[in-house]
Amino acid sequence: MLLAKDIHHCIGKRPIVDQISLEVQPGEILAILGPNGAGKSTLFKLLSGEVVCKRGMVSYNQSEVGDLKASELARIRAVLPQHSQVNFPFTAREVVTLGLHQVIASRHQAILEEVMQMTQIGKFADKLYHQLSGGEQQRVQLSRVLVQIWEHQPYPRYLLLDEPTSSLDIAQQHAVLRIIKKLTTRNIGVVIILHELNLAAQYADKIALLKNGILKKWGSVPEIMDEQLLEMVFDHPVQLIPYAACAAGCFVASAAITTTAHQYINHA
Amino acid sequence: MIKRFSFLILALAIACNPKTTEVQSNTDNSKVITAGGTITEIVDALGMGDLIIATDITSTFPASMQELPSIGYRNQIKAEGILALGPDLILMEEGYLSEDVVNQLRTAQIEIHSFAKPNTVSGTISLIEELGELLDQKAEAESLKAQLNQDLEDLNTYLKTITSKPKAAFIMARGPQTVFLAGEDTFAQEIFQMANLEFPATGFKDFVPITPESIVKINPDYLVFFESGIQSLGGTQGLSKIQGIDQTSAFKKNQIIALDGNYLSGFGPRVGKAALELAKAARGE
Amino acid sequence: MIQSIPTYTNVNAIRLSALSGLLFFVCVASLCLGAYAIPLGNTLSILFNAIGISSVNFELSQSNVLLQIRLPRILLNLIIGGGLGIAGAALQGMFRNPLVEPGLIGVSSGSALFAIIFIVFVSGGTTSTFLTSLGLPLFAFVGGLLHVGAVFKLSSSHGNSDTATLILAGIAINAFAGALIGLVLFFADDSALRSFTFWSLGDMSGASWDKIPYALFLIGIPSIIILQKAQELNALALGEQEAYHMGVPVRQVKILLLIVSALIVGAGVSMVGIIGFVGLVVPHLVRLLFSADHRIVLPGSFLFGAILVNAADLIARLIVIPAEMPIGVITALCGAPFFIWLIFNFKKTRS
Repeated sequence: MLLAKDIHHCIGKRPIVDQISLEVQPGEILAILGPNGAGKSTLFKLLSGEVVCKRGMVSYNQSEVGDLKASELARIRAVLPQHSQVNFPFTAREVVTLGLHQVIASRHQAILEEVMQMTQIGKFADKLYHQLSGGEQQRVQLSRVLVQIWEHQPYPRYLLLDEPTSSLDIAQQHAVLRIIKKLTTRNIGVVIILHELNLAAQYADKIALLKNGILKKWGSVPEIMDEQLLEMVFDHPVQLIPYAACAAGCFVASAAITTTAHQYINHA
Repeated sequence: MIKRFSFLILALAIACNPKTTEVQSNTDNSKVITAGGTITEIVDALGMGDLIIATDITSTFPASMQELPSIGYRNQIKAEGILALGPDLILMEEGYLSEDVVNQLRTAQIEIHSFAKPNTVSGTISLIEELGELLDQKAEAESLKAQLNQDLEDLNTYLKTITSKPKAAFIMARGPQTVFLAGEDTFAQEIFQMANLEFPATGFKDFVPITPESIVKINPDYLVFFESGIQSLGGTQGLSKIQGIDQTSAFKKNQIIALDGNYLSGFGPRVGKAALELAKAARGE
Repeated sequence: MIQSIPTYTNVNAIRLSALSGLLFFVCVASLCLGAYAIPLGNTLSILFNAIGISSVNFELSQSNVLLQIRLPRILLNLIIGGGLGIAGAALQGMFRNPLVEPGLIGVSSGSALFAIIFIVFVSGGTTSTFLTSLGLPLFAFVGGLLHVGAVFKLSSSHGNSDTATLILAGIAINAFAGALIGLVLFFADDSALRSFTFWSLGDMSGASWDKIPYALFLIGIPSIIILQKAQELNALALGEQEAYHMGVPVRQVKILLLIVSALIVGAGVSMVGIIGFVGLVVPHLVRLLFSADHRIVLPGSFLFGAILVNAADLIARLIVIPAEMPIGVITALCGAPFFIWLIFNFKKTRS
C-alpha cells in the first residue's frame, strides 16, 4: 500500500500541499485532479519521493520513503514525468532498456519482449527516439517505466504518471490508459495526474480532488461524480450527462458561460 | 574489477623503466651541436669550428655557421630533431633547451654540457677557459684570453682620452608592436658601463615594454639597437612612428647606434671590440 | 520468439576489438615515423630485443631514440588521448549536452592556470622532483575542478543545463582563466614555465618514462572509474529526476564523475598543455558509428581518443621536420569544422 499521512509542504509560509492523507492499494488506479495551481505536481513529487515533506509521512509497503535508498525505491515504484528530454541519439529500444537499470541482466530480454508487445512499439523499436512522433515517444517512455516494475515480486509495486496523455490525440489517449488499466492485474497500484475529467472517470477507480493544496474529496468515482462538488473545485459549472455505455455511467460536460445567471464567484 | 585493473596499471608503471644502453663517447672526430651564439663563436675561435655539424638560429658568427643545418630556436627545439643529426656532443647555453629536451637527450645517452651565459667580461673569460678545457684546446684558449685582454686595454686607453659620458638607452625591438626598453641587470647595462655610458635609472629589471612617457622622461642622448631590431622597425625612418622615441634628443639629433646582436650582447671573444665600437659611436666617431 | 541475433555485448566486443586494432596500427606507424628515421626492420628488431627476443639488426642510438623518446611519447599520447576522450564522454553525459567538452567548459584553462601558478609560486621552476611531479597535476586538477564547478553553478537550474547559458558561462570562465594565464606568463620569467603556445596549443614532446607512472595513476585509474558508471550515465541521459526515479544516486554520481573528469583533464593539461576538441569530437564519432549507449561510448571514446591524439601527434611531428607543429593546431583544424557541423545537426535534431 502507498500511504500518505498528513503530508504538508510549504514554500515560505504558503502551504502548497496542506495536510493531505490518502492511500493507494495495489490493483487500484487513483486519479489526481484539480485546477491549475492546486498543488497536484507537488503532491506528485511528495508521493514519488523526489521532494521530502516537511511534516507528515509517505510510505511504500510500510517503509517510509525517506528510509529507502534510491535503488530500493526504484524497485518498488516507477515514475513517468510529464516531459522527458532525450539529448542523445538513442534508439527507442535503448530508451526502454534504460528502465531495466535495477533488474538483473538475465531477465532483460523477456521483460522487454512482454512490455514492448503490450505497448505495441515493436514496429519502431530500432528507430531513433527523436525521429518518432509525440504519441510514439510517449509509448516508449511508458514502456520504459513499465519494464522497471514489470516483474512479479512478492510485494506490490506502484506506477506514478504525471499527465501522460496531455499531448496525445484521442485514440492515443485511450490506448495509453487501456495499457495502464491492464497493470492493475499485476499487483501494481497506479497514481495518475489527469487533466481531463472524462478520462479519469472512465479509467480510474478512485479520484482525489485537489484545490489550493487541500484535498477536497477522495473517494470512488461515483462519489466524486457530483455536479456541485466538481463546480466548487473547478470554479466552473459542469453537467453530468448519463451515458450508460461508459464505465463511469456518465459523461462530464462543461459549457461556455453565456448568461449572467451562471456567474460563479471563486471560492477561497 | 577496479582492483584487477589497478594491479595491472601498477605492474605497467613499475615496468616502465627499460634499461638504457651505453653509447661510447669519443671527443676525437666528435660531431658537435652548439646552442647559443657565444658558445658557437668561442668553439670556432678555439679552432674547433669544423666539428660543429649543426647549430641554432642565434649563432650568427662566423657567418658560415648559418649555412649549417639549423636546430631551431629555444623552446621550439625538440629532441628528435637534434638526434636525427647524429651528434656525439652537445654544448648549450644554460636554459637554452627546455628541461624536458635535456632529459630526453641525456636518456638517449648523448653527452651534453651546459654553460652559464656570460653577461660580464669575467663570465666570458670563464667560458673560454671551460670550453678550452673541455675541447682540449688550452693553448688556443689562452691566446683568446690574451686577445680579449688586449681589446680591453685598447678600450681603456680610448676612454682615458675622452671626458664625456653621454646618456644612452638600449631598445630591443621585434617589429613595431614589440618594443622593449632594457632595465637593470641586462647585458645592456653591463656593456654600457664598459663603454662609459650613462645607463638610465629605470627602476626595473630586465626588459619591459616601452611607454612613451618613460622614454621621454629618460630622454637619452643616444639610442642603441640591434641591427635586426632597427630593421624590424623600418630603419631610422620607421623610428619616427614609435611614440615617444620621436621626442627624444637622440632621435632629433639622429644619434642612433645599431650593432649586430651577437656582437653587442653575446659577451663573446669580441666583447672588448664591441665595447670600444660602442664607446666611439657614442662620441660621434 | 528466439532469434539467434548477436547479443549486445557481443556486438560491442567486436566494435571495441576493431578500435583496438586501429589503435595498434596507429601506434606502430608512430613508432616507425618521425624526425629521426628508423627503418621498419630496425624498429621491429629493437622491440623484439626489448621484450627478450634477441635480435641485433639495429644501432644502439636508434634503440635509445625508439625506447627512450618515442615509445614513452606514444604511450603518453595513448593515455592522455584516451583520458580526454572518456572524460569528454562523461562530461557530455553529465551535462546532458553533446556540445560539452573540457575546453569549452573551462576545465582545461582552469587546469592550465593552476598549473602555471604552481610552477611559479610553489615549485620555483623545477618540475622533475617526485613532489613537484605529483603536486603539479594535482594542483592543476584542483584548478580544473573549481572552474568546472563554477560553470556548472552558473549554468544549471533545477538540474538541467541550458545550452546557451552553459556556453556563455564557459566563455566567461575561459576568458577569465586565459587572462590570468597571460598575466602570470608575462611577469614570470621562467623557462620551466614554458611558453604560452605550450599551454594553449599543447606539446607532447616532453614525454619521458618518468612521466608515465603519473599518467597511469592520475589518468588511467580515473578512466576505469568512469567506465564503471556507464549504466548510470545512460540513466542520467534522460534527466536527473528520471535517473533518480530509476534508482541512480544522482548527486553522488555527478560529484564522482565531475571529480574524476577534472582529475583526468587536470593531469593531462599539466603534462602537455591544452589539447582541444578531442573531448568533443571523439564521443560524437563513437555515437555516430555505433550507438549512444554509454556501455560502448565510454570505452570507445577512450580508444578513439587514443587513436586520434596519436594520429594528430604523428602529423605534428612529420609536417615541419625537424621542428614540430603544436598538436593543438592539428586537433583544432580537424575538430573545429566538425564542431560547426555538429551545431547544424544539433539544431536539426532539436526542432
